[in-house]
Order: sequence, then structure tokens, then C-alpha cells
Amino acid sequence: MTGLLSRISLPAEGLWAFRRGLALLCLFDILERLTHASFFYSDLGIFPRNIYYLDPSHPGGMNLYLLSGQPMFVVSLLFLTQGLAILQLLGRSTPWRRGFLWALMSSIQFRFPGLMDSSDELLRLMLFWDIFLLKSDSSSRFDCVSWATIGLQVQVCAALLGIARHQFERPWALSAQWGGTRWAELWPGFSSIEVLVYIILAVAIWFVKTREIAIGLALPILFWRATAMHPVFPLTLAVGLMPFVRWRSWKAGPSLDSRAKVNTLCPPSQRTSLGGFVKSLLREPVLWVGLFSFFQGYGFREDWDRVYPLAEKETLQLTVRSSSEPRPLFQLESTDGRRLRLLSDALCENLGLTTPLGAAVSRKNGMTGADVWVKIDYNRADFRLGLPTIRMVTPNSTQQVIKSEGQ
Amino acid sequence: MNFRAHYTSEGILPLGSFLFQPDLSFRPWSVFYMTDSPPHVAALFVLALVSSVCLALGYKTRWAGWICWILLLGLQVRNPLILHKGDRYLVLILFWGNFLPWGKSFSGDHGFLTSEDEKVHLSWGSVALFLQICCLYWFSAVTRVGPEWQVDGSALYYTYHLEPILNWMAVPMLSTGEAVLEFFTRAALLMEMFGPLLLFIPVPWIRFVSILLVMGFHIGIMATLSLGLFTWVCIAAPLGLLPSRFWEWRLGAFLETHLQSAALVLHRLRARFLSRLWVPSEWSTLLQRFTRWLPAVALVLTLTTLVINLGGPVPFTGPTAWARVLGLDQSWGMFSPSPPKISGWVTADATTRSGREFNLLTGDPVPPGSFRGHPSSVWDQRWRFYRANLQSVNFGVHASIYLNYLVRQWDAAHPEDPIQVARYNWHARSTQLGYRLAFEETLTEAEYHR
Repeated sequence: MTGLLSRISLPAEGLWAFRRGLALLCLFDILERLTHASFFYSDLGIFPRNIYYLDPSHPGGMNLYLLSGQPMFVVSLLFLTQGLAILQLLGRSTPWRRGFLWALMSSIQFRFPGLMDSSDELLRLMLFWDIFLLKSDSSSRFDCVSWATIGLQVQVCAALLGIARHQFERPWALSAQWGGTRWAELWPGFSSIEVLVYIILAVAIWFVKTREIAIGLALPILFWRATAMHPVFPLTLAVGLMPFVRWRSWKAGPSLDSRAKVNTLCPPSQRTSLGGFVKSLLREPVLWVGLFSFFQGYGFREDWDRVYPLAEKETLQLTVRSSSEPRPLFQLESTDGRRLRLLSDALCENLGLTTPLGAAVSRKNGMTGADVWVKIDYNRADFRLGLPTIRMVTPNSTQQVIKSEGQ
Repeated sequence: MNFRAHYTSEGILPLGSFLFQPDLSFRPWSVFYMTDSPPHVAALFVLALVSSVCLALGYKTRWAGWICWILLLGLQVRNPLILHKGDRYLVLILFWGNFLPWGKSFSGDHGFLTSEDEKVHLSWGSVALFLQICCLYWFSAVTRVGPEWQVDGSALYYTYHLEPILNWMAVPMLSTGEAVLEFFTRAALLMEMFGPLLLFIPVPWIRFVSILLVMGFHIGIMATLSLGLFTWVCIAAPLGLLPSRFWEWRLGAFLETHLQSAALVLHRLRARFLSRLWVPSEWSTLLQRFTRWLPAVALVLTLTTLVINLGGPVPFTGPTAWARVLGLDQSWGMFSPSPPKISGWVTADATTRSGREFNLLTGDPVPPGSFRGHPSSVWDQRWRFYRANLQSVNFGVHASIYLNYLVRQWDAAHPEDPIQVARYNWHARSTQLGYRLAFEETLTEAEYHR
């Protein structure tokens, strides 16, 4: 049993780096969200709580951001999340603080599920497993295996396989057109290589000897994806691969035999038998998963079909105008940032959301009766131009087609 | 008992509909805004129950008290249509009480303290609790400006004609005649104005007698009117003002013995099942300073809100906004400025596809023109408050929502015989002075047609 456990153990200093990486991801994520906090997450924005509850697809779990719809409350919670992430970055985290950070990050993600992509999913799931990982520092020199490390491995493996499956099905060209950079079209066959690397990684992370080779193979692929598409998903995945890297082999210092230092987080007398291992699992706090999951609703939902940029067949652009104001009050364009692009996708899927959008923009500008115009471009895998549709969506009659070109 | 109907997505007001109505959802926060799915709401109720038991037994008293307050306030904010004045008063007493050293005596945390210096407690929290109790009576008294209270003393006469809320002593009281009722009306008003003043006299026996007077006043109300939780909270709240000598009597030893054994059971349970849960027993120094001064600020907010509320509904700005965040906004004056002169019942008369006609509220056939109400048990009180609140002007539209809910419930239970037509009727009866015959009228407040 010890032999098996040592083969799947994780280096402690990798867990240390993983925890810091997660903290950095949270910091950047919250900074990005703070720029649109009131507009996306408060009752004055596009997705007030009454719309949230009327949406039949809402996650249904408890959500801290639903406690109040006041913009100040939303901003306060975001700052609280920032504080916890900074504590984690400085190595001052405890299981309770990590649990609270996970709850806050899950809550902000599910407050407006339309703005989520697979990077958010991966970050949230990794934050969950991080709650139960043991404490370590950069000078730790041992390998460890516990229910939590196995859970993390299963999670990363499942994510890699899930992403590979969806990447295989979705044409690279659609993602490139929807939100890629100008480099994206240079290498149309990249998708199949990416899929292959993800599958290799999913298998290799289970074995100490093959992990680092596979990760070395994956790094150029992730770098290319970051350059051609968007850096957020490759960065999140890179953080997810950190626990599998044994940093000590790259720098001076004592290198210990992993077999001799297996730490199963169970009493030594029970370490070598399967029964003892199962018994130790029952004592692990990770079994509170059911409880947390219960409170968080669909906090463990995994959707690997939304790697950013999305491979959508439609690209929505939007303008909110008022007759009394010559300039547009609000615009969504294909060159906007990630969250706004995800918003445009959510609007494309549910044009009914344009009504609260128009109301929120009007309220923000202190006027009434703003019109929402949408333009939908159609993407094709063979890069042929589609014929756009332009619609005006008014508060009284959603999806009213005023002008349509083509068809 | 009825949490599904009042607080969940399967009930009358799912959060999606509730948050669309600013007249109901004006309060800024509630734990129960987080979810309306029945299992999650049930979990919150269980948490509230556990924290209430811990508070009662004095186990982790400070944490239990604040958790209780957060959940209770959240619960009240989630559905104000089923509330009564007693609910507001309870949450206020709980708020002020959390600043007092509740866990210092008669509790599982510290047992029964006998040291002289801990027998009397003075802080902003205790001052606030004291004034809160007084304010209930004073601000009720100043709103009683109607002629029924000030001129002819007929307030109790009208009040004892409000049949849905009458208790067993009301009818005998009515039969004593208008002169006796006028006397009691004036006595009640005097009691509200001057009774609390006796509490300020620092003589133990006068304090004791004045508390007995307040409690007796509410026991009298309880015998004649069924006001739900209000009476019980009003009786319990002044107990904290009783002199320490009272508690050192035999009652003290009895409570100490029983509370200690109950707390011991809780300790054992915690050691067995909740050893991983760690709850600090003491506040940090910063938090202690904060809790020392917060009641002073909150007291100023409370008094400001009370005065502002005398002038009618106030906007959600300035001090009242902060008072609402803490749930401190309040206005008293039941049956003020004048008691209602119309009482009555509601019926929801329905006709099913098979032609069956019955009252959806009771399930019984009700002959047209009947003015018989149905008795409500303790567990039905929330429904009674709900139906009473529907009669007020602001919530008239909810009669339709309620009727639709009743029809939905019936149709789900009887898919073979769904309801075709239903009417929510208010059978009103006006009260005439001099025991004269009442004028009766039936008003249809909402209709349902399939």
C-alpha cells in the first residue's frame, strides 16, 4: 500500500506553490470583477436578484451575494475576498479562511452564472480541494498523499479529459473568430495537438516519474494558447499543474526519497493497510464535501464546454442608445474584455436579459426609455462571412426585429 | 410548521416575486434572501432552532445570541406579511440583549455567579434595553390621539368587537358595560404613560412592583385579546430588569441545577460529534470595544427613528437607512390613533369542475352570507396575521396572489377535480356604539377564473 501511495504522492513544495498561485488567480479575478461590480452583481445592474430567481436555470444553492442587492454590500464582499486572497498569498491561511475564500469565490461566480467560463470552474474546484490540503512551505522536503491530494488529482484529471473532449468537438476556427487574437488563425491544426497533450497530461499526472515530462510538453502548448487566444485559461491550468512539479530537483538542497517520506495523514500504524487507509479517509474533513455541496447548491457542477474564448456560432454586439443623447450610453463590442464578452454570449443566449440591461444603463445615466440595439454576426468554421442581423430590443417587446440584413 | 408556504419557492411568495415588490423587500439584507429552495430554508430553520436552544441553555451564549438575531431578523425580513408587532419587539430585545453579559449567570458557560460586583450590570447595552422597554409604552401612548382614547374612552369597546382576535375574557368584559370599559381604557393609557416611569426609581421593591404591574397589564391583555407573540415578549422583556435579590431566592438554585445539567449534555454532544468545530468563547479586544460603543450609536438611531416615524412613513435615507440595516426601525401604537371599527373574516369560496362549492381556507362548505369565522390554533397564527395584513391598503394586491396560491395547492392535490372559479371575500362587520346591531357587507377582493 505504501508503494502505491508513494507513486501517486504530491510534493509538499508543489502544494505550497499551488496555494500561492490560487491566491494570485483570485486576486486578479476579483480585481477584474471590481470594475463592473455594481453593474453585474447588484440590484441596480443587469441581473438583479429578482431576475436571478425568476431564471429557471439559476443554480439554487445558497449564495452570499444574494444576502443583499446593495452595490456597497457587493463591493464589500469583493474586498473581503481580496483580503483573504492576500492572506493566502502571504502564507497566513487556515482551513477556515480557505473555506471562506472558496465560499466567496463560488458565490460571486454563481451570482451571475452567464459570466462563467471553464477557467472559473477550474479555479473554484481547485480552491475547494485546497481547503483540505496540508500546510507546507517552500522549503518542505517530503511527499504527501491524503484524501485531499487524491481528490485534487482526480479533479485535475477530470478537467483535462473533459476539456480535451470538448476541444475535440468544437472547431478551433469558431473560437478564433469569436474572441481569438490575430495569431489564432496561423495554426488551424493546433486544436488536435492540444487535445492530445491534455490526454497525455491526464494520465501522466498519476505517476511521479512521468509528470514533469508531460508538464514540460504541455507548457509550450499552453503558452501558444495564451498568445493565440486568451491567457486566463492556460494560466489557471498551469496553476492546477503546480502541485505535480517537484521544484527541489531543480535547485540545490537535500533531495529525499519520496518512498521514505510518504505522509498519509493517518497514524503510522494504519499507514500500510488498505483498511487503515479507508479508516483514515473517514476521519478526513473532506467528507464534509456533502455538507458544503448541499449549501452551495451546484458548487460542484463541472462545465468544460466553455473554455474562453468560446466556440460560438454567433457573436453579439450591442449598443444602448437614447433619443435624447447623441452618443451611445453603453456598447458591447467584440474587442471588449473577457467578462463583457461572456456577457454578450449570455445576452445572445437569452435576449430577454437586454430589458434589465437597458433599465440598468438608463438608471446609471439618469434617464428613461433607452433603446437596446443588437447586432448578431454568424461565425463559420470555414471562415466564410456570415450575414449579420440587426435588431432593436425595446423594454416592452423583446426581440422585435426592426432591420435584418441578408438571410 | 408552514415554512414551505411562507418562505420557499413552493409557497405564496417565491423570492423572484418577492424581490419585485419594493414595498415588501425594502429591507437591505436577509439571510433568507440567499435561497428559497425548501431543503436550504429548512437547514436555516434547523440552525435557528439549534442556536435558540444554545441561547436558552447559555451554551456559547454570545455566539448563539447573535446567530439567533441574524436568523430571526432575516426571517422577518423575508416575509413581512405574516408579522405582528411582537415579532419586531422580539428581535429588538434580542439585539439589545446581545450586548449584555447573558452568559455570566444561569448559563452553561459560567454557572451561577454570586460575587457582589457582578450582580448589577451597567453599560450602554443595559441602558438601551431599559429605554427600549419604556419606548414601547411611551410611543404607543403618544400615538393614541383618537377620540376613542382621549374623549369618550370607547377604545376598548371597539377593540373587544374585533372578533378574530378575541380571547375568552373579551365577551365577559364587553358585558360589563361601557362605563367599565371606559375606565379600563383610561387606565391602560395611564399605565402606558406612567408605568415605565416607576422603573426608574432605584428602590428594589418599587422596581419589583412596577415590573409586576407591567406583566399584569399584559396578562390582562392576553386574557382578552389573542396577539400572538407580542404578549409573551412583553412579559419576558422586563424580567431582565428584576432586582438581583429576586434571583437569589429559591428560583436561582433551581435554574442553576437544571441549566448546568443541560449544558453538560451539550458539552458531551460537542465532544462526541462536533470536536472539529471550534468556536472562540471570548471576543477579541477590538470586538469588545466595538460592542461596548455600538449600543450607544444604535440607541441614538433608535430614538431618532421612533421620533421620525411618528410623522408617518419615512424614506430610506439618513439615520433611518442605518436603523433598517440593523433592524432597529420601529413604530408602536397598536390600535392607534383609533381602534378599527370594522372587523370580519375572509373566505375563499371555490367551485370545482364537478360543481362542488366550498371554502378553500377551511375545506368546509360555507353557506352564502355566513359571517362565521374559523378558529385558529397556535400553529395557524401566522396565517391569521397574513390574512389580517392583506386587509391593509398597501397589501391589497396580495389577495390575488394568495387566492392563486390556494387554487394551485388544491389543483395539485386534486388534479381530477380542479377549481374553475374562486373568490376571495372579505366579510366586514362594522361596530356601533351602544351595543347596536352591526352593519354587514361582503367585498370580493380577488377572483380566479380558469
